[in-house]
Amino acid sequence: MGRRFIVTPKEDLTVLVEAERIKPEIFAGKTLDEIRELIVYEGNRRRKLGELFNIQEEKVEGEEISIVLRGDFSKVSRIGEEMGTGEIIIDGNCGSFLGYKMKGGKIIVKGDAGSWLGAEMRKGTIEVYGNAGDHVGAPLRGLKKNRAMRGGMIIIHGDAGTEVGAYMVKGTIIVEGNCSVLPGLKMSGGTVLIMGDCMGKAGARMSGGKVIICGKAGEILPSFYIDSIVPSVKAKGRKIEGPFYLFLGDVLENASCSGRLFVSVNNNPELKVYEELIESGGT
Amino acid sequence: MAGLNLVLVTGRSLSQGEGLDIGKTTKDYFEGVAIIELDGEDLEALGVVEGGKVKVETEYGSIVVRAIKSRRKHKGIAFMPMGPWASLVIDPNTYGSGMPTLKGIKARILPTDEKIPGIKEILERIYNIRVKEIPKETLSEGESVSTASRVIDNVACSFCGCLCDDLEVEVRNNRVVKVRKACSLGSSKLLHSRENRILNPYVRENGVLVRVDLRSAVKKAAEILANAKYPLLYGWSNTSVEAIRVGVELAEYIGGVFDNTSVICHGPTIQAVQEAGFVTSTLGKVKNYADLIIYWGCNPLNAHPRHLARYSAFAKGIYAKSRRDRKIVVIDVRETDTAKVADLFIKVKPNSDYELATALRMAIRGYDIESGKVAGVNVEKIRELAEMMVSAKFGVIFYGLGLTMTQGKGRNIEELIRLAQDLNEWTKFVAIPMRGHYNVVGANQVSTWTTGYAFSVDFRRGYPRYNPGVTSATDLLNNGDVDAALIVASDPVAHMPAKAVENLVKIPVVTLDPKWSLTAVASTVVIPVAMTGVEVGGTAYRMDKVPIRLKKLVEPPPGILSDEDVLRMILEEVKKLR
Amino acid sequence: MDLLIKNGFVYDPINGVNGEVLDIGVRGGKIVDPSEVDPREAKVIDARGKVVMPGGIDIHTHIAGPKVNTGRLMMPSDHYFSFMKFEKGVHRSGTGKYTPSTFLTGYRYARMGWTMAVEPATPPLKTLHTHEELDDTPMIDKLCFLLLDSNRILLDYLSQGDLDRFRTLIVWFLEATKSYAVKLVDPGVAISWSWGRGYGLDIDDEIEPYGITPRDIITSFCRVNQELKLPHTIHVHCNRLGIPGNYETTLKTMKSTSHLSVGGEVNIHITHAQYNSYSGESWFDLGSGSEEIAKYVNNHAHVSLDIGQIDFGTAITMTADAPFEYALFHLSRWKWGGAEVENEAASGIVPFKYRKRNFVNTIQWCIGLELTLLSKDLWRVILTTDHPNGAPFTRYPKIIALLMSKNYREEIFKKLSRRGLKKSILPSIDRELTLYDIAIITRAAPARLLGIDNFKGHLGVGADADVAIYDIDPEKIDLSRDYMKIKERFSRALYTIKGGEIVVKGGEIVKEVYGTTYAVKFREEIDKSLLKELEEKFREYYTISLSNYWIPEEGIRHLRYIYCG
Repeated sequence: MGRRFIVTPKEDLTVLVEAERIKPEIFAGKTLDEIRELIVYEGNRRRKLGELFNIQEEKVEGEEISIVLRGDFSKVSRIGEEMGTGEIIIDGNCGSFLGYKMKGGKIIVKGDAGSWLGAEMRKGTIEVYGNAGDHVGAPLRGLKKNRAMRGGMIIIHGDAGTEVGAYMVKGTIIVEGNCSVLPGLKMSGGTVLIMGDCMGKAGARMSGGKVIICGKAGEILPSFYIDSIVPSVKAKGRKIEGPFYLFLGDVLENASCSGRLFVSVNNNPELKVYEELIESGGT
Repeated sequence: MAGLNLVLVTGRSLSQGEGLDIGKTTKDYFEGVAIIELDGEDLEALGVVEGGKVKVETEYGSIVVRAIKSRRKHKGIAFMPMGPWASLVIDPNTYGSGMPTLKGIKARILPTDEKIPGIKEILERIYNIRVKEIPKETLSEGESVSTASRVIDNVACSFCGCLCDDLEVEVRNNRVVKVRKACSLGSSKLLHSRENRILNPYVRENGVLVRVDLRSAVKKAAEILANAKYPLLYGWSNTSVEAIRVGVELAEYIGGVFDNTSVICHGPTIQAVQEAGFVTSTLGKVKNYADLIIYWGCNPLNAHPRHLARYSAFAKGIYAKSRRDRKIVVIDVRETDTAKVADLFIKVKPNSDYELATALRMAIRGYDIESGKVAGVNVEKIRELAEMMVSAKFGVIFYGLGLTMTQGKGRNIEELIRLAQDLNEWTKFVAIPMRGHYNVVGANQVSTWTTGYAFSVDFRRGYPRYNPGVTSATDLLNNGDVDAALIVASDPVAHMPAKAVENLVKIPVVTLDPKWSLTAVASTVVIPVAMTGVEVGGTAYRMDKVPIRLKKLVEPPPGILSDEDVLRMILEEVKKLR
Repeated sequence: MDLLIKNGFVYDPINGVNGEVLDIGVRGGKIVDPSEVDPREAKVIDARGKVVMPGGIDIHTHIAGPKVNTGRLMMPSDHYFSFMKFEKGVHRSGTGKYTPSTFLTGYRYARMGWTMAVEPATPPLKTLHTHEELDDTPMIDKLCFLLLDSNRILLDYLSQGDLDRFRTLIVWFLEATKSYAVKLVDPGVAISWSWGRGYGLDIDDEIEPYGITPRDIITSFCRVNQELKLPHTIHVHCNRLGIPGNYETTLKTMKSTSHLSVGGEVNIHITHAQYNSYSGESWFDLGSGSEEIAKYVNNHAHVSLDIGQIDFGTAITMTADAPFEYALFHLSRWKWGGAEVENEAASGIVPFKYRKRNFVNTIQWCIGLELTLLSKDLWRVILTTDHPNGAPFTRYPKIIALLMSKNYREEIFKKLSRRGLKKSILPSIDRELTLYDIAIITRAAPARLLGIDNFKGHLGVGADADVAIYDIDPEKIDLSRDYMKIKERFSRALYTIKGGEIVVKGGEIVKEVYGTTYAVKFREEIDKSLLKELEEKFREYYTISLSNYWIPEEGIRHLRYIYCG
């Protein structure tokens, strides 16, 4: 039999809570009482999971472990850290570092997610129905790119913040709403798809992979060169209808300009000036 | 009603700086800070006369202030000095950096007949703080013991990051009576050191601040901090290294967050250093060598008044002997006072410094730039600047909050550092941040050597961790993530975004300050302290990380201890409780 | 409380004690005759079957000051994953492996049985910063070496031939900054680096605009150093560090002071000699120059050195040799920190990784060990890793094991670059150091070279009671075969005693103490007319006033002067 746990806060949380132990593999081999004994940190206090949250268990079909977090978890961070299997459903908002270093399984957030969503992710899927914070999929500051997102998929149906997919090596991030500045910063592989607008600086210092902006893109960095206009672009099996300007860059990171930046033609009329360069340059 | 859509920039100004020492409840402060500077043409378009009232509306709030005609033209850009009025309309969102967006905000300006709220009104109406009972205290003149005065020389000025150490201070009857060589900000601090002082400890009881003895105040403060699940210890840039060291120890002991004011100034610079490194020098190197000086996103003539004469543009050096031996460039979104002394002024489009740095890096490497204009600047002009840079013998970029507070934040600085690093292939180039408070660098230094991180240090799990954007004072307060605060040598109620202030005033706050700050007025426990650099000595670090000893010039008011001593008392008391 | 350490195998080279079973008495922070300690009143430590040595002394380790702190700032990755938790009433918290925070630095030294460390490169203008960090570094005694080779005012006098002023000013700088010895880093290079030049500057190249050479700088400082009777010799990071073929420069540097040596006394210390012992013309035909260096040192008593051993893995290179760091940045292309201090010095920081299969790194790794194993007088060859340049200081136990065990070396050889090993002589060396040798290169010799061997680095009566006890029974453990045990036991001292107090037990901190900061003080008065002149020079050159440059004594936690002259 599969197990489904329903976790709800006992009362409103007043300070940040760290709960890296909320993940299917840790719940899997434990009784409900044992799960209630798991340690979480409420600010600087060591607390038992059961002191802060009500936890119930339901038997369900199948083999899977799923954890449903119901209520406001916006102060709770590190849920699903390094999780490799099973499912976490957050029926509400959640805090930062959701699915940090995730290795597999699935996380669904029905509300908003905090910053560093899926940071340093390796595999698995995260789907957010609301908005996400900054640094989606990014590694901690000052690390080499070998710790960046290397696989998996993050879908955000709402908006996202700055630096979506920074340093990404592989994997896919889809933002259906808008994002702030610097999507795809320093990425060397994988795909960042922004269905809405971006506030600018897209693809900064990228050396590989794809950044696709379907809405307004703001000013294109001068370190990108116009290549052509393409009718559509493929992202993780989806065909996105264009047309798109295709820019290559970032020349400051990689002189061969092997990163590809796709920007909607129709939503960015101020980029029309580049069309002359396509015709004359014959690239 | 006719309105105008402008880009709002906030920042330090001379009168805002002087006001810090006269007191924020004074008329001077109100007149100097509850304003917005608008271009003459913009004023005209609004149909508002100079000195008339306008309403500033942004996505984040609105406020009525007085409109001032800016001395220099910057059509389309509106400037507000940092302070409680600007705090109500800035973008509190830090975009994961810890730094709220204080510059480059879209704003709508409208003429209005509404009243400009005073400080009291802001505190009462907006933040719900009872201020009727701000205790009035006057420091007694004391017996006139003698009329003899003494002059103390080589005094280091404890106002801004310049830490000029050549001041001559005349003291008579335990009072500073004359200050020579200092700028107006520095002398204002010293000459007004006795004004607006807190002279007794206070504890809030039934909503009212009640005078208590030091011991009870310390005890109450310790209770608040020891009982907190997640306290924030914030400020630290206007006190000595000695006090900061005790602050770190206290934060570690109680499992709190230790954050200093660089979170709202050069925190992004620190994040950039973590990505790219740095290339820098002390100011003496600039004074002696630099033949190209670029001020980017900073306005030292207003924020660091003696910087140009003592360390940079006008300084007399060994190789660069005077202004004539140097080329000066200013890059800013508006023509500032500093821009007036420049050989080349580059007006960059707001929020486009990253683009400009990119283009400069490309130009010095000889890459093609396809667009004719980048960041609102003609590419020819960018090439001209690039040429100046590579042909300089010793170049320096001084950069300020115009880069750290705008879109891109730390990434702007990262590009600027990379630009300076690149330039070392051709010549000698360094980049130096213009740090604001006199010891904000010291706060970074102590924090780094004791914990490994320069700011936003989180001790909740018993060892230092770091994540601005999550554990930064701004974000913690914006989101209401902490349950108590200790504020030392800072006034977050005046300078933090309104959203953060709203949450701060809901939790118990302990404030250590020599003067009645807005935060002190709103606190649960207020403990007066001696003024560092005036009444108590200690070490401070200049903007280029040169440590300088501050001097004790006069005795503190009777019974008033240093930050360090009070913090030690609190720490000892906390140890009894937890 | 008095201590009585009973029946340990004592290794105390200064007193010629080589593994004899002895009792050591401790009273009032000093070593006393064991008969003076009443075992009923004292805490008795049963050291039967254990090794007892004086506390370790690190003569060259970048642990504090402006450069180290910016290294910390630049490398959050070093701090995220390595940390120590706060323990109420016992010790503070900290982070970092390569650039540990100050508290952690002290704890880690103490856990290995080390009780003293030298910060070897502090720019005078920022030495107050260095002292503030050293004040926050617990468990160990400390001191710092002052960067003086590129000091503009000193070079002014030197190039004008005013050696009196030159000499007096050295005294003034050392006293003003409360430091201990003269450090010369790639002598003169920071002057050229002001214009972005200076990479590869050799000992006889002229330094613009002074018209003098690094040789002039080295010999002049050496002469003054001897005249002033400073407790330590000049501490020299040779020119052309990290450049193939540089062993010749190193030989020239050593020779440059041979004629100045009186009665064969040591008058120059070559630091992290490994980085300056390369033969070959390029990185592709790099070879080990250790034989030539070792030969010179064996035949000339006026030179001492420390090895600057590397270990494989991450390191953070940081040195006052700024042009070298900039060159290194071109190899790593990740982060570069470069800083300059007006009129005095420059520095650089570049994170780096030494790889086992790498040809160059293999040779570097061999050279450090070769320099030690080829030495005929270990009293002049000190163990260092030039922390954190070659490796963090926490690798000392590993390096000790390597020096003591050919088996261990051969085990490592298997993973190294074959081409690199072929160019090295290490594989042909059979020598294995003894515990007595180790006590020399980590305790006795550094104390002697620092000129404090009358009260540090030994266990004779009257010495400071800094003692390390290791759980090693030389009669039971085969030191050559059980090398992993050597490594492990040296990593976690059974006891560390600092100033007579037990501070580490079973490899864990049990008590936090703060050591002493040593500085030199001269008996001679400073010529007043020089100070007047200096005030003028300061106004011209510096951006702070002369009076604010002087570091007051009360700013330093436990300051103790070593008088000289």
